[in-house]
Amino acid sequence: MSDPILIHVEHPRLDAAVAPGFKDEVTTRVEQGERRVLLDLTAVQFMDSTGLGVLVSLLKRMGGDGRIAVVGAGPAVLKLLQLTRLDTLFAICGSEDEARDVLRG
Amino acid sequence: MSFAADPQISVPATLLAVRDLSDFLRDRCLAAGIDEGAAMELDLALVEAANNIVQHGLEGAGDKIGLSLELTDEIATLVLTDGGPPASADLFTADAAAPDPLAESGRGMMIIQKCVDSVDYDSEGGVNRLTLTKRLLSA
Repeated sequence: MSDPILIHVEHPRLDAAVAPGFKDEVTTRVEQGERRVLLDLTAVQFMDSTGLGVLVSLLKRMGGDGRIAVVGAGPAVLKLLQLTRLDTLFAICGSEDEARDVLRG
Repeated sequence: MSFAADPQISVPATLLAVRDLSDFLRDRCLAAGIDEGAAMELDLALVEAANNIVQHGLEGAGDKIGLSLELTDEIATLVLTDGGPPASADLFTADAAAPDPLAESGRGMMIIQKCVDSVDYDSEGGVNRLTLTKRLLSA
């Protein structure tokens, strides 16, 4: 299996103000047929439901067997993922190595 | 609520300006020594509520959103005001169900209701007023 696409998200606030542009960015990075994405959210200090919606749309774009692993999620991002219970939809990992293992599994 | 009669901060009704409301809230919470977890939930509720007001009422209308904040040892009260079209009576107060996990939108109200203890909405005299109240464990 090929390596997952690694996307470093550089928006300190992944909110409704930047979500449309961010969606365009990630959509162009994920070619049709890609099934594994590793998202590095280390730079993201805040995310709202609109930013979260972009991650869901990315997962849907990859089809039924697509997987997204997240690394670098800070407290505010984790809080949002837990409140919405989407911490079960994405693999929340403590390191890039762990995320790659999860995506290979 | 008298403290909210005049907003403490007023910003253009744009998604970008919602960040100024968030910054205002975080600065006030920090100064008051509010627990970080509670501040985080207040911030999230505020942003979701303000986004909702902008996207469903005011965007492009050239109007403003006002915010007043009162922090005591036990309670945080946020009052958002705007002059847009009134929302339906139960938009903010009816129990918001969790959407399908693969839904790309529709989580805002659920998040607000999980982050604060009460949500009240009224519209009178051309002013919509959304009041979010959260009990604080410690100040």
